Order: sequence, then structure tokens, then C-alpha cells
Amino acid sequence: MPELRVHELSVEYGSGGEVIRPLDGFGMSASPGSLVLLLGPSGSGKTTLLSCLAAILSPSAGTIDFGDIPISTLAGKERTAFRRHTVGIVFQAFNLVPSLTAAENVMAPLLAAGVGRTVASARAASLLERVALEHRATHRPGELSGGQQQRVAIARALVHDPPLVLADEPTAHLDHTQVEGVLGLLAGLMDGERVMVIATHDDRVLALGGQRVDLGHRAV
Amino acid sequence: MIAVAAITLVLALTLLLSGFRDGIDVETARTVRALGGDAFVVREGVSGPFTTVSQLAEDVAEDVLTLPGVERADPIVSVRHAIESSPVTDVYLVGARPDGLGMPAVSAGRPPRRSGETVLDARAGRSVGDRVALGGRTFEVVGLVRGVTVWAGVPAMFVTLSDAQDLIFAGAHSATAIVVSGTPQGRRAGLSIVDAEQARADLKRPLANAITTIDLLRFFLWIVAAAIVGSVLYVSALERSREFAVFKAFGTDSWDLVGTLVVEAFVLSALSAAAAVALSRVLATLFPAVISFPSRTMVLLPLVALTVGLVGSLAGARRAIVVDPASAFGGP
Repeated sequence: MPELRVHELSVEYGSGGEVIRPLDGFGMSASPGSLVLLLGPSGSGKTTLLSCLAAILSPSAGTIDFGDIPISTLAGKERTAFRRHTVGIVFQAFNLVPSLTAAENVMAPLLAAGVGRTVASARAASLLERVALEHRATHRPGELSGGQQQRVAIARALVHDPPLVLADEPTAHLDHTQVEGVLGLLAGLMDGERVMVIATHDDRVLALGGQRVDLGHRAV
Repeated sequence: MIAVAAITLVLALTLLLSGFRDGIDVETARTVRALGGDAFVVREGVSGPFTTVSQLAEDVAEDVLTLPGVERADPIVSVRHAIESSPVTDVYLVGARPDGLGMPAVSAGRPPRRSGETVLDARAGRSVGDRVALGGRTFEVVGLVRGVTVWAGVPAMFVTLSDAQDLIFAGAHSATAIVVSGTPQGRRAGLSIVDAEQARADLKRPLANAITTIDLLRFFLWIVAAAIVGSVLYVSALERSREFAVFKAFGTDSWDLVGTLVVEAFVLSALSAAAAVALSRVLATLFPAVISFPSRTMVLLPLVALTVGLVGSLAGARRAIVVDPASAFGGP
């Protein structure tokens, strides 16, 4: 399994006539099977870093490598292929498609990758069972609680068994009881050699352990 | 679902208005055809057999019959009138000889054979055996016709020629036109020959302003329908910006999203068009006027819906292409 290496990473953009640098010379590394907690208040660059790690945002300077994949220099179809096969993302706002059932939401990334419906359906059923939602497979997001929606979103992020999982504030919109369930699920995902990066400012997530990276002092 | 319902409704209304407009032509042709003639003879200078009450002597019909190409000629009296007995009903009164040209085939009962008998179009809401008052006289309904109406649903009322002459010309043996079968060759001084097409134009003339208005409304409604179909699909695509961002974050190709949108638009438009055709046919039964759905409209509307739907979805697809997958991050 690959190692994640971030070296001298900078992101800057203009806003209101000023240059904003949410990340300025940032560096970190994470060995296979490790958990990285990105800490810091809003605006400290956590989501920007996740966007760079997911090959969604191109950095202004610096490099990101995941094993032998130079994430920061990927372009066009390579970026699409990287996101399709190598990275799984858990969003703060769940971002489930409201018109699709839980199972269909989990299947979506596989179908987008050209996997057959039968295989995708079996894989989705397996993932939903893993997040203890097999009995809600035919329910739409509007019929699920926030915690259940986030568990579906986690299943979706794992459906193609990515070696890199990114989670952006996964507990931000959950109540106390739901947070426990999601944290338990995330803890269970840390087996194997998968690299997991979680951006959070929720202290309860610290219980997961792992490597802490505080971006707070870099806030702009 | 709401999008399908909205598009269905506007397409159905567009079909209905088009059907109403086409119905005027259908109704006019049907009514002129029901009188059984190929042409009409009227006094020279008169605009047509239906819109001007201009007297001809009844026996002009015998003179017209001597023209080459004329197979039969019968006088008629036609004028707008009203049934005075409740419910008061506007009618287009036609007096014709029993079994002569100008007297249509009945769908129920029998034609009027003697004074005081009438045949009414079913839209007058009367049945065989009913009695109706018109012009101070009472007529017994002895038969019914269907689809013989004028001016967007005004039912025709047929009486004997002599009864019509009593009502309109105080018993004078006059006619407003001579209905002719065959193709008259030559003419008589003081008379004009009006062919079936001119007769239809004459019958429609009182609705000229209304037809122009309807044509304009129909034109604008087609544009509104197209705009609604396009905008519903466009707004629908805009509302799904976050969804597009999420799919792109998962590695879905932009063109795959565009393809999905186009297919969705096609299905949505096709479903809406099919539902609109069914709904318009149901709604048409609520209207007193003739609503006609010619095949060209039935073909054109789905084509317009599909075309505009695809254009609307492509406008939304542009959004899918430019949306930044990074926007999937962050709160709701």
C-alpha cells in the first residue's frame, strides 16, 4: 500500500484584491494504514488540503504523492481516473442524491466507473451490511436520520475499496448519539493499509487516535 | 414528478388551444358539407350564403337548375336566431325543403316534413320529442343531427323552408341562397356562384377577429410552452449543481453527466407529451366548442417538447460541465 507525502504545499487565490493563502508551504506524510486528523478552526485550510489530496484542486506550489502517483501534477483524465479508483470521500453534508435509494447512492461511484449493475448492487449490499444499514437499502435519504445518511455516505466512499479515504468534518451535522455510531464505524475502517485523512474540529474525533496535524496556526 | 406535471399541463393547454383553433375549420367544413351542396348561388354583391340576409326569389332555384353542370338546386333560408324557451339557446336557423339540399341527414329521429317540426344539433341540449319556442312559434324536435354547428359551437336548427320564410320574410317565397349540387357552368345576371371553399370562408368570417386573436394566443402559448419546458429542465439542472459536484468528485466524467441529463430530458419530455395528449383529450370533453386534434399537431407538439427539452437540458448541462467538484465540500 502507498504512502502519502505532501511537500511544501501552497495554495493561493485572489479575493477582493487580496491574495489568500489557506496553505503555505505545508508538509506531512502518512504511512500505509495510518490515520491523519487535520485539526484547526474554519478557514485554516483543512478542506483546501482535502481538495488537493482528492485531485480536485491544483496547488499553486509543492507536491503531493500517493505512492507512485503524483497527485499534484495529474491532469484531465488522469485526475478523473484517480478520483474514480483511488480515493473515497466522505462529505460534511453527506451529499447523498435525494432521488436515489441508499443502495443506489452507494452503487453510484461504481456505475460511474463502468462497473456492471449486478456487481455494483452486490458490492453496495455488502457495504450497507458493513455499516449496519442493510435493512434501509431501499430507503431514500429523506427517510434516513442524519447518522444513517452519513453511514450511507461512508459506505459510498468505500464501495470501490479505495486505498485513500478523505473525510471532511464527518460529524459536523450529527447529534451526540449519531457521532458515536459514525466514530465507531470510522474506527472499524482503519484496518488494513488504507490511509485515512479526517478533517475535523470536533474533539470527539480525537478518540480515534492517529497522527494529528494542527493547521490552526496557518489560518488566514 | 412536479416537473412532469407542470410540463404536461402547459402542453395540454397548448394542445387544447390549437385544437380549438383547428376545430373552427373542422366545424365549418363539416357544417357546409352537411348541407349537401357543391356550391351556392347568392344575389350578386353579397359576400356569401351565410353572413348576409339578402333575398332571392325562391323560384330562382328552378332557373339555376337549367344551368349546364347543375344536377340539383334547392333554396334555403339561413339566419342566426335563438330558441326563446328555457334554456335560451343561440342557434343557426336553416330552412330547407324536406329531403332537399340544405337538409342534413339526421342521426336520430327523422327530418322535418311539415310545419312546426324541427331538427336540432345535439349541442342544443334538446331531445327528440321536446318542444322549443323560436320567433314566437313552437316547434317539435323530431330529429337530431351531430356536428352541425357554427361559430365555435352554436348549434344548427333545421325547419321546413316555408316555416323559415314565415319567420324571416313574413311568408314571402324568398331564399337567402340556392344550394347547388354539381358544377354550375355559366351564370345568370344578378347572381353569383360561391364554391364550397368560398362558402366556408364566408361562414367563418364572423369569427375573423377571434381567429386572429386565437392564432396569436396559440403562437405565444407555443412559445410559453417551449419556454416552460426548457426552463423547468434548466432549473432542474441548476438545482442539482451540488449533485453534479459530488459525482465529479467521485470521478464521473462531465460528458457522462451531460449524457445523463440529455436522456433524462428526453424521457421527461416524452412522458409529459404523452400525458399531455391524454389530458387534452379528457379536457376537450369539457368544452362546448369543437376541439379538433389534427395529426400534424399531435406530431408537432411532442417534437417541440423533445427539441426544447433537449435544448433546455443542454443549457443545464453547461452547468454540469463547469461546476467545480470542490463545491461538494462544505456544509449544506
